[in-house]
Amino acid sequence: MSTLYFFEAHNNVLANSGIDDTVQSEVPVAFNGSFVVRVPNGVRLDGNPPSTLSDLLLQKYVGLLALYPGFTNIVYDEMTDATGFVPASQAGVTLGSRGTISILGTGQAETTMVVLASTPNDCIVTWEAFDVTETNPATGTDNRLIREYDEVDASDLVVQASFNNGLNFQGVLDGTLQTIAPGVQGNQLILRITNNVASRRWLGSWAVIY
Amino acid sequence: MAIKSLNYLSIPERQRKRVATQETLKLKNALTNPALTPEQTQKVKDRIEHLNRWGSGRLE
Repeated sequence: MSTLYFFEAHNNVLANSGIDDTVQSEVPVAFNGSFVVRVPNGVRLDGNPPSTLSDLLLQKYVGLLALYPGFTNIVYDEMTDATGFVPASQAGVTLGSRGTISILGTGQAETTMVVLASTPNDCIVTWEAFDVTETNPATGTDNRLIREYDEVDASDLVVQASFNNGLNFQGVLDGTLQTIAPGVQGNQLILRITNNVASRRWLGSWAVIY
Repeated sequence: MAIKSLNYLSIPERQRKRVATQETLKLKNALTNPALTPEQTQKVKDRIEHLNRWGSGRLE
């Protein structure tokens, strides 16, 4: 069971966004006025309790790397802004800040190329997917719009990875050790993320451990 | 904030040593398996050595 951190959505300095609430991700939960950062089950936050977005993201990805002892690097994007994507290359993708990047059914997003610290022989790619449902009650004293976060299986999004700047892509499975064939190895990472279901899916984050 | 990177030295030393020790213990137990070939045994020993250096922050 993962933990959801709700952050204030209107801080002028994104990194300083404070934590509004923390909940267990069991059922869809309302997150009106906040944006969500998910900490997967098993990731241990080590150190002082986080108080800002930058605190939590550092502890989350340090904790994720520590889940795979022996691996030396992690590269990640938490979707706090859209700078990790090339806008012109996106089909059926809505880009935004604070966890609002989503992909329509059959849509495809491609990350900007990032240079890795080494040329890996193998790696682990992991990503988070979620759905957002909005209900707007027509009646009642509290008839405001309700926006709910619903964690969905990562396989709702299909991911392919390229380590040679887009020359070759290989399919990857969430959280699974992937061997990179010698002919397609490299240190120029691009991920291609495709919606595998009919309805819109939000991308929570991605990370590559190598 | 966008795309960011960290390396294993960002993991607090206490946490790094703890997970390395846990993983090493599993591998040491695996070494007692008489069915392991010499090549497999060497691979496990290499992995243990890698984890020891990872845990103590001595990877090059």
